Amino acid sequence: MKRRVADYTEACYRAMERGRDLGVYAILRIQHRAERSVSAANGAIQSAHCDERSGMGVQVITPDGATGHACTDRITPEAAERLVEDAARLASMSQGYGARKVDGHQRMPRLITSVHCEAPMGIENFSHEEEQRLVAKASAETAAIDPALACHTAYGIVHEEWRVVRSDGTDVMFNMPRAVCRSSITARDASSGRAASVGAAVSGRDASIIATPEGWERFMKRSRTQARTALALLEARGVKAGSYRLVIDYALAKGLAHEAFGHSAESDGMRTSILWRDGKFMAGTRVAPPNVSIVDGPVEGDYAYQPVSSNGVLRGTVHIVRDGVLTSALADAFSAAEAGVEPTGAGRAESYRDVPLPRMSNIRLTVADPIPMPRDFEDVTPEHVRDALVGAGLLQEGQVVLYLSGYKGGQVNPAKGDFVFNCSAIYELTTSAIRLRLPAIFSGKVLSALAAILAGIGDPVIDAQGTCGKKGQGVPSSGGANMFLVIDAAPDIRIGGV
Amino acid sequence: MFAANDTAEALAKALATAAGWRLTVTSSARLSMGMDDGELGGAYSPPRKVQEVSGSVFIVWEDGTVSKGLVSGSTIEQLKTKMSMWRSAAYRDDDAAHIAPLAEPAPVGLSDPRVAKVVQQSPRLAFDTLTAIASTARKAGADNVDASVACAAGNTVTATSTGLWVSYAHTSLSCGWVLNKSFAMWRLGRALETWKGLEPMVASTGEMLAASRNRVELAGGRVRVIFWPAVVDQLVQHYLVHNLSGDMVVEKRSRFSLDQFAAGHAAFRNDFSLELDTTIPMAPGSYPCTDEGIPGSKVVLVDGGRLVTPLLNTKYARKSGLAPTALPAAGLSPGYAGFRLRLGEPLAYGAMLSSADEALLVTGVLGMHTQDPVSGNFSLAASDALLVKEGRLVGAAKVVISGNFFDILGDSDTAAAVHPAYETPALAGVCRVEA
Repeated sequence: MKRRVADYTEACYRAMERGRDLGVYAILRIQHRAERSVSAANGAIQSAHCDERSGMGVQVITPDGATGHACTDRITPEAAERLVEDAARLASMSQGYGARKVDGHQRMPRLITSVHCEAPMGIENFSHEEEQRLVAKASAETAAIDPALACHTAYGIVHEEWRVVRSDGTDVMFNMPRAVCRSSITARDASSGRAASVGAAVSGRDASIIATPEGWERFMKRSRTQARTALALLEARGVKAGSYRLVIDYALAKGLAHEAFGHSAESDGMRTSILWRDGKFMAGTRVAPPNVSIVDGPVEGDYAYQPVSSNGVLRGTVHIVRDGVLTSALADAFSAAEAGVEPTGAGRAESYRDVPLPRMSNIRLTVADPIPMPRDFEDVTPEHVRDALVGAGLLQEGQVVLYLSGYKGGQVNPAKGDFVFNCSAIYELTTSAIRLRLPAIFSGKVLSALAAILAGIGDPVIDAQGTCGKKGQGVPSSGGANMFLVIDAAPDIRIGGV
Repeated sequence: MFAANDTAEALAKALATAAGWRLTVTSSARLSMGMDDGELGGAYSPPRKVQEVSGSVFIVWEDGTVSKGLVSGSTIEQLKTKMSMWRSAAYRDDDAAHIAPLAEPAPVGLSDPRVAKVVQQSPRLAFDTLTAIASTARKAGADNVDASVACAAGNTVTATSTGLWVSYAHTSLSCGWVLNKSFAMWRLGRALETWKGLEPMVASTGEMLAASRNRVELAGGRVRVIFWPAVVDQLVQHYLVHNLSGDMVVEKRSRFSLDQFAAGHAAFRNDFSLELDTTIPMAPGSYPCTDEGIPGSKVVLVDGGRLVTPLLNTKYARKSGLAPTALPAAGLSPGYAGFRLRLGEPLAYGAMLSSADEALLVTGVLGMHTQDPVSGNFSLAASDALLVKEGRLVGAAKVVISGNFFDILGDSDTAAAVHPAYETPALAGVCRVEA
């Protein structure tokens, strides 16, 4: 397959040549992005969009270790030369202000390759008209469940190509196809004024997420379940704030692994994140029970697939936690050596405008020997969860366990280890009853939450999708866990009240 | 780089056969730099320069279908391909298939030539500003400083098939700092003065940091909470702007219905008002006209506690039978976008703080984006809520605060206070606090 970014070899050559002339090390990043999107509200198309954009950015490093970056959305040999000059000028100027020195780029292995991810129902192989029809239908069918419901469905499909060329002769091309469809569902009781919002989503590499019978059924099952939850939430009451034994679904568990743990394992946070002491990664430290592991790495076909870092290094699969012990950090070449860890090709950039930062791709938290859950995630009800807990002796007479369902986002302060997540709904489980409660934040200390993991339920599901924000850049993220995690009550882990 | 005018002219020519069109094209240059953990630059925050053309186009085709497209620096060279791509993605949206009639753009100044000079010729001022922020922060007691500065200069053309052609220059500056990964402040403006007089602001952030070093035990319960203006901005964005957005209202995903706007429903306290003004000279959120050609103006959204109008683009204005309004500039917090919130007779912030016998000052929260905007319920963590006793900051604690933002706005005990560094007031109201 011909790559669009392959057309710019002359610009790559001229940038490297200009870098040589100026005596600077250059990393050129070219991005080509084709995208389509559709949104529909209650069955009516609200917006559709189709476009392509390209651009290039150059990061230079002077012999003294100063760095600068320049970018433009016009890819020509002349522009490439000018970018190197602009970036070198800024780098040189920053040296006079005592700028932090950069190294590590010399240790990046030279790489010349092209990595291609197939997307059989990708942006070029599926019609926009059909996408519009399916999105409108999903939105209409969900809203039609009850007159109190409104549904906004948004779909996006992207084909992104990158080319990274460096002064050491590296020239690597790769693509990242992805698609997501999400319904935001609002239930509103006009008489009481009460309202509740929930969401349902599917993601993957291409339009098959909604265009195959299996994909469609999965999305609609999730949408129907969430729509009914939204309606029921109109009558629900809040849960008393406090510490509880908790069950969280795999999407919330992905949030925990990503927000609360993965970010803390990124090497650019070595000076302040909680998993680092005196600038060094605390490898060898036990942070979780022995049956818990956390792994990050690209998974082909996944929404957040990225096989090569934005610095032109193959991205590795990293065991951040293996059998409960902190093992490896997510590192790029620029901070690995200082942090005393191995580089793992973790650098990712949102676009050619940005410099890469160490960050996750698909992160999954798994518990060995999980409690069996012999059904698809979409078919699991709160009763099934309750029965699994009772069967495993984790819910006993007189005890209350809160089951947090649906991930509505989260945030973490890696320096303090504080995290917050929100869910769509809470089920209060006892051996004799299940009560739906209003969502409330799940907050606490990262290490306390990890140490309190009691068990996993079901096989891993790793398609929880999101956008990871860091230093103003948003990149696709995904991951998951066993269908459910059981977390014991701990003073540092709270369910906030409403 | 092609100028915005060149791209806009080429586009307008190519679109001449369409039934209608509108376009916005911006050419800009931007300079930015940052500091992580007290050190300027480095691999993750190097000084950066961005030059690009951006914008959007909206086309009404002869068959009544419509298309949306993006504009970039290569649009002129790829115009034929782009037109074909946009045509292929056309869809039917009868309410959207209209171009606003010609209206006089608002005359509002948005450019400071001194800023353009910094961007294009003399970036040293940006370096100087960044290092000055760090120096003041260290003097104020910060062990760890993250900071950034940015400035940009550009030109925008907005044009429509109904005869609008407005071209204007604009500049912007920003700077921000985070002390010990905990206490932050952010400034945004269009004139060079945005980077001046920062020392007292950095120092006041340092005072909060100093107070937070004394960790205190709190009993929790129902507590008077003073929401720092930046937090109020987040609350306004999440709960008010969301529910006042025309698309949300018309699609029934808002707390408020069109009928309630028509009836002037009393949704808030009768001394509450909210308006959007996009014509304030040199304000970050001001503009001559929207991308659709609707002139910048002052829009009263809530007056005397009663709903007046949602924020309406031309499509949702048509769907709701109301007039289109000015809209908030994308990506800006409400205060910078031009929203002005009033609640009762505002105090001065200093007076609010000094008169507080006991309260919690919340300057930052985790998890706002995870909250349900329609219900108004919130449950947020604050790692460093500052304890105020007898008007002084005396310590800090990690807390979870919860409540309902609409209930707080409706409470007769809730008060607003004007802070000199912010357009949005601080708010003091009672919340549930879990320590």
